[in-house]
Parts: sequence; structure tokens; C-alpha cells
Amino acid sequence: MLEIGVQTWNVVDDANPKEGFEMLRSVGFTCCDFSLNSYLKNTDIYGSKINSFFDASIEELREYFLPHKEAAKAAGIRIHQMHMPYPLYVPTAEEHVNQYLWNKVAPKSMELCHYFDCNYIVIHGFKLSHFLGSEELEWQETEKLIHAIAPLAVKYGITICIENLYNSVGGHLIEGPCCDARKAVERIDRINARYGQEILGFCFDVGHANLIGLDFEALITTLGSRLKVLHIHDNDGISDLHQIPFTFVKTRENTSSTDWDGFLRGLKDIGFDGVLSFETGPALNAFPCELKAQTLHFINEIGYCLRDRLCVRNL
Amino acid sequence: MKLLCSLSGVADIKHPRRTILQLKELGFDGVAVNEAAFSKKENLSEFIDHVKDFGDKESVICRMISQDILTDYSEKTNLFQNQCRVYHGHYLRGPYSDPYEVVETIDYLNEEAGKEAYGFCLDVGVCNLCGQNMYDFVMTLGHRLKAVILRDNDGNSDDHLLPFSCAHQGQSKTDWLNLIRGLRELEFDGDLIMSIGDSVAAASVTLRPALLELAYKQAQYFQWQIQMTRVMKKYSSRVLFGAGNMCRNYMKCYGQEFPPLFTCDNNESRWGETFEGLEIRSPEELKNLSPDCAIFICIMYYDDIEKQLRNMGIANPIERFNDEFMPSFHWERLEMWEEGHA
Repeated sequence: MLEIGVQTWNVVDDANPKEGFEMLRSVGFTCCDFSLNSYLKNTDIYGSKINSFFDASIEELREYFLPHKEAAKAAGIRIHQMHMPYPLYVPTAEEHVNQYLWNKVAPKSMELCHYFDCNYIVIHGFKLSHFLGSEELEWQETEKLIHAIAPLAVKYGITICIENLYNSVGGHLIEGPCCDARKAVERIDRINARYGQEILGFCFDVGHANLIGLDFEALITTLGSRLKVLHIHDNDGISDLHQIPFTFVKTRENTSSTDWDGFLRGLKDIGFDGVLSFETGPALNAFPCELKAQTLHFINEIGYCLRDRLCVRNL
Repeated sequence: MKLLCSLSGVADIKHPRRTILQLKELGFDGVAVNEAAFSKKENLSEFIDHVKDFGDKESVICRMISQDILTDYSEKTNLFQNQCRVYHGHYLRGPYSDPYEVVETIDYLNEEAGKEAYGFCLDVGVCNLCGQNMYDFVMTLGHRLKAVILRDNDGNSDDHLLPFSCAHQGQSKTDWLNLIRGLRELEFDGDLIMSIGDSVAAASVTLRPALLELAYKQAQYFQWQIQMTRVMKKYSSRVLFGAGNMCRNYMKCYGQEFPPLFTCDNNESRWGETFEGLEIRSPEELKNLSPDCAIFICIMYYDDIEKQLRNMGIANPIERFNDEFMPSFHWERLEMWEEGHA
């Protein structure tokens, strides 16, 4: 039976992690996606405003996250996946910023992933094709990062997951790193063969794929067993809104404009046995805070619904 | 390379004579028509005959766009065309949108036919609706790409608008950079089809001729950008004019393959300086060039520089380099110190 998870951002608060994990348990979740990226925000990284969070030693970081680990365990919430801070390379930033991201943030994220007994960590590929000229050259830079953290992945049995992303052209979101499933398959297989274990996998972000009109079913089927992790969320096909599935319609028939059936057909085709994990933290801001638990409950119910539909013979 | 204009939204399909004449006068090599515009098949063949016999025979090329095939009536080549599918009002990648599958299909059909009977027509508007990486699409298609439909839209509505007309905060909403990068690297030499029916139809009748003129200038602009490398290749030796960002970008992307002898600049204080590995010399030095050496202007004031050089009595070929769409970019542009340095 597939488990249902959700990201911890906007739910688990450092001041009282127990409360957050307990809330997740109470509404029915058994897994979570630990939002490590919320400790060093992407907007700050892009602006070279690097806070001191990752200055702490790994021992200090473990101590910091001990209450989180214990609270998750007490609530019966398994940390199935986590998100590494991103980006880990900013072309216009000073060298010391990039050195810090690469040499401190990335390895410490891997250490924390292991600390949480988590097997999957999601990274963002570098967005450099504008400068370098092609996705292929851009990938070569991302691959350098993967090789840099691969020894820790081998040591701890962690699978680093690359995620399909987008770029912006005049505010219009278009294909970004890791959107080509065929290329992803070749890269994942080649790198895993080199390390002799599954250190690289794929994180399929449904919302990002929807923004660029990808065929969910074809992409998932091409990825096959390399698909390890999901980011389930919805949008209007225009902006990366991270809202609750089935939220958006574009016609008077009021049927969802996101191809959820195609998504499920793909998962069914490959026999996906991971976690139906929602990346819908921003949706919690869309509702009054008094309704946070109910909103989470609804998200979890959608997880049950998707899981039930996966069992239907013909989607 | 042929520059065509789609008649959809541009001309009354029953009385296209006046528009075709205008397009021809502007410099377009031909027209493309959408099969869907004809309610009856006989009207379509009548139109084709009409266009074929129009003016001096065979001077107007006619391409027919049907739902998924673009036909070159003179060469009997069928071009598959990428399409969207609409899922409850949302555009998704549809038939012939996967370049890998397209390549397999075309190669199989051509092998069966024993000749190059099939090729591909890339609709930029469809790519934009589906946010596709056009560099990768073009490079995967390779020589199979025979035509490109140039049109703009906002990425959400399937409109046929003038290129560069959909913009937000000073940036185009279509990824022209990756398209041009691909077409230039491929040395594309097929048809460029301007499809701007919605822009033309929405404009006042009095403004339409000006819009069509702009459309032709845009088509020429694309042609210039796409053929940039081809032009460099034409010459056995070359020099640059200008020692700013454009020169720097030339050297980054083309300096190795097409090395210039030197560059020159009107700023006397920089003569003798080395910039990006090139010596900066006085424009007077250009008088000593061998006749077949081309001068590539690397300053945006092309007309002024060309006029200056011609007035100096320089008869060498003069070409215009441009760095708006480059195969790669430096992380930062240099802040140049004098107006006129691009």
C-alpha cells in the first residue's frame, strides 16, 4: 500500500516540532518531505545573502535537529525524502559563495539526510544554459556536483534525486534542467553503473511538468524504476503555485486542467511503489491558518483518492 | 533560405491577389496557406492554380499547411508539423512534439519511400505553448528540419502574433535565443514562414501594410541571425571593427574558428592596446587589407561605420556581426567607457 506524505515547510516549526509532526499524524500522513531548503532560502542564495545556519558543525546540526527527529518518530512520521537547499551554484555570485554552497551546504545536507534515516534527497540541477549555450553543457556542471557528493551517497545508501525544473523567459515558464526523460535515463544509468549502486534517481515534479505541457504518462513510463520521489502539486499552467491537486480549471465544464489521469496511468505502468508526496506547503498559506489541519487533512484525503484510483483497472 | 508569409488572417483567401502582390513587393519569396481556410477541396485547388500562375510564373512559392502536414507543392515534400493537444483547456505536447519520435518516423518513411519525401516543419508558437527547449528540438531534428513557422504568443493562448510582440518587463515571452542558437548551429537553410494573422487582423486596415513591412524586416532579421556563422565561413580572412562587448563576444564564441587578424576602433587612445587577444588598430589600417578580407562591424551603429569605411575608399566586403543571440554568453557584460562601444 502506497504511503502518503507532505512537505514539512509551513507545518513543522523549529520552536515546537512535536506539534507539527503530531498534526501530520493526526490528519493521516505517515511520511513527510523534510524541507531542509527552508533553512537557506533560494531567494537569499540568489541574492548572495547566505545565513549562518550551515556554518554549524555537523554535530551541532544534529543536536539542532534532534527534537525534530524525536518528534517525527514519536508521531510515527517517516522522513521519506528531503529537499537540499538550492541553487548550489550562482554564476553571478562571488566565488566564496559558491564554494560555501558546494563544500558546506551540500555535504552537510547529505549528513543530515543520513541523520534523519532518509533515503532520498532532492537536488536542483544548475540553471546555466543561457550562459553555457545548451542543456548538455549545463548538465555537465550539475554532474560535477553529483560526483562531489556521491561518496556520501554511497556511504549512507542515499539516492540523490534530480528534479524536472523550469526556466523563465519574460515571465513565461519554459523547459529547464532535467525535463528530458530520455537524457535522464541515460545519465542516471551511467552514473549508477559507475558507483555500483543507485546513488542517482529522479524526482518527478507534477506541477513543473504541467507548466511546460509535458506528457506525464510518457515521461513517467520512460523513467521507469528510476523514478524514486514525487512532488505532487497543482497550478494554472502559468505560474508555479504549488496548490492542492484538482484546484485549477480552464473551461466552463470545470474539469481539472491538469492531467491527473495521465499521471496515475504512468505510475501504474511502472508499478510505482514509493510515496505519494505532496509539495503543497504554499497552499497552506492560501487558507486561513485556523484551517491548517483541515487543509492538511484534505490533502491527505486527495492522497487516498489518488492511491485508490491507482488500483482501478482502467484509468 | 526562403522567406514566406502565411496568408491566414492576412489576406481574404478568395481574393488574395492584392495581398500577394504586396508581399512580393516587400520581398517575400512566397506564401503559405492554411488548408482549413478552404471549405471545399475544389476551392483549394483553384487557389493553388491561382497562386502558381500568379505574376511571373513560379516566382511565388506556395506551401500548404494542413492540420499536421505542410506540403511543398513544387517539390512534393511533406513536412510533419509539431502540434499541441488541448487537455480541458490546457495546452499539452501533442503529435510530433517529441523530436526523438519524429526523427524515427521521418527516417522510417524516407527509407520506405527511397527518397527524402518527408521532413519537418517546426511551429515556434506550438513550442512556446508547451515551453519546449527549441535548441534541443532543432538539434535533434537535424537535416530533417525544412521549414520554421515564426510566430509569437504569450505561452498560454494559441495566437499568431508578430515575433517579439509578446513581452513582459522588457523581455520576450518566447525563447528566441534557443531557437536561433539551434538554427544557426544547424546552418538551417530552409523556409522561414511568418505567421502573424492575429496581429494583422487585429490592427486597423490602414496599419496593415506597415505591419507586413515590419514582418518582412523581422524575417530578414531572423535570416541574418541564423546565417551569421555561414557568413563568417565565406571569407578566408577577416578583421573586426569595434573593441567592446560585441568584439569580446565574437572572440568568445567564434575567435577560435574564425580568428580575426586584428580589430580597429575610432578611439585613438586605444590604438596599440590588446583586447581579447586582438591588437586594436586605427581604421586607416583597413586600407592595407587584401581585397578578399572581410570587415565585420562589431558596433551597433552599423550604417554609420559602413558609411565611414566606404567614404575612406575601402572596397572590402563589409559584414555586420551581432551578439544579441550568441551560442554562449559571458557571465557579465563589460561596462564600456565610451558611447559607441557596444
